[in-house]
Amino acid sequence: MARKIAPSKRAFLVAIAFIGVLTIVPNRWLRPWTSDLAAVVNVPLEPFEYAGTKIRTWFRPAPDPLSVEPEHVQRIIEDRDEVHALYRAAQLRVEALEQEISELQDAQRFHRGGTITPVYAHITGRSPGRGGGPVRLRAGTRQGVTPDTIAVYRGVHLIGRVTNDVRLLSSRLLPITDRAAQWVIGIILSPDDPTAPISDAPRVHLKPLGNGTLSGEIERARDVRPGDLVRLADLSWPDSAQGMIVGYVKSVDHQDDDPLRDVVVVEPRYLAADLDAVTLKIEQLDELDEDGES
Amino acid sequence: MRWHVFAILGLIALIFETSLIDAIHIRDVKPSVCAALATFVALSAPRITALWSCLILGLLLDLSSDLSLDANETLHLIGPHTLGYVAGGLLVLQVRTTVFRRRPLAIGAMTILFALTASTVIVTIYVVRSWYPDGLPYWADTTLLAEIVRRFFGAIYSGLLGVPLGWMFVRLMPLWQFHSGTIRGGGVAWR
Repeated sequence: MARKIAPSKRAFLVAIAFIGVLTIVPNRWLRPWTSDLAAVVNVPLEPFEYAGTKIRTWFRPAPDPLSVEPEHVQRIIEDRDEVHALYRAAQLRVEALEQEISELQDAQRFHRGGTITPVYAHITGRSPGRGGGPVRLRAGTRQGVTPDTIAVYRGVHLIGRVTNDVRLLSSRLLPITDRAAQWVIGIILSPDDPTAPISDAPRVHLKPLGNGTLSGEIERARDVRPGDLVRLADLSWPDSAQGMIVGYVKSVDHQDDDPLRDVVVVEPRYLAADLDAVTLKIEQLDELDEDGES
Repeated sequence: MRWHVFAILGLIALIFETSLIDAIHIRDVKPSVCAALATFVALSAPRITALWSCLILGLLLDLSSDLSLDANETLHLIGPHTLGYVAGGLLVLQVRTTVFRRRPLAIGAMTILFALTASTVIVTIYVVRSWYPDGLPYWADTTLLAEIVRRFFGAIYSGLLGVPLGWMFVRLMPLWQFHSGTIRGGGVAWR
């Protein structure tokens, strides 16, 4: 006589078989609907996860060298860093404009002006079991967040940028240190001379390693030292990201198989995994009239 | 088993897993509260109830885990934690008759076994999916070996955390009202 399987056991076997199929199907079959299903689970938990994140940062605050300074000193340092970033951003923009003029392009149609609206966004959740990875922000289209909106900390430290997963009240931030993040182009500057010209500064293509650092190769002849500052100089990023601090040179290592090039490892000062909030820089482009003027 | 007790503790464990647990990480090695809870339920509940509990916890973890597809999109991959937790639950069910199920140390030790089994399944699924044409890196660390080492120490850490958590779960035993599947001669037999 055939052994009967209890209904609950049968349902479990069916569920396991279904999940087993989902485990092996290609990503493009899962992408359209799993995010919505995850939102059903995650959205109700966000207030509690936000509270948990606040408790965590109170218990274990992010390493911040500035936190030991008095508050007015912190503001002065932030203002100074912001001025330096604006100066570098202006230098990079001038350099880009000069390149375009030299290539005989119309400088007026290259208008990339606009204003920035900062939005303070709390980090409400992150992937369990992973050291890094995307984080959820409590800011969405209602606050003007769009895909590619950049996130910074302390005004100038680049944390990452918003993915395509933007909803009304939440969005997802991909840190620059995540392995899925694209390469970034940085310019290496000495921290001792913030007004040094950038024309001779070495540029490096940085690849995220997945352990909280990025690495790239430079010519050995370049005088790059641990502690040097690396700023973003990548035109594939929004204007608001240019000149932002990617990190600091952690090490410069020789390569035996390529003696003419060194490997530079860059470490950001702040990581999304350690923070409870970031500032989103919402770009608002000026409206252009028919003549291309704002 | 009272499912509403499991639901409340499961959601609390999930909140811990996605926010508070970062406070006690040691060089990116984090314990898993959900693994300790799943182990306790697998030790105490009837077989099919334990397996359903492991499946639900694993599914919640899958839906809370963001995997980066590229610079713009993320994916919630359903399966790794779900199947991993079910595998861990099956292992605990096989050996639970040989341990003192209400001892916190036993719960901690079984949590290590549970987490190791679950991690093995999870990493195996990640490796198999990395062979797909898109070849995405599903693991967080720089290399597969680093991911395996991190998960190994994460399992140990989960076991250590499982001791005080197990003590707390045992104290809440009257709330759970676990029942076995058979009654023999007026007594209750554990299976």
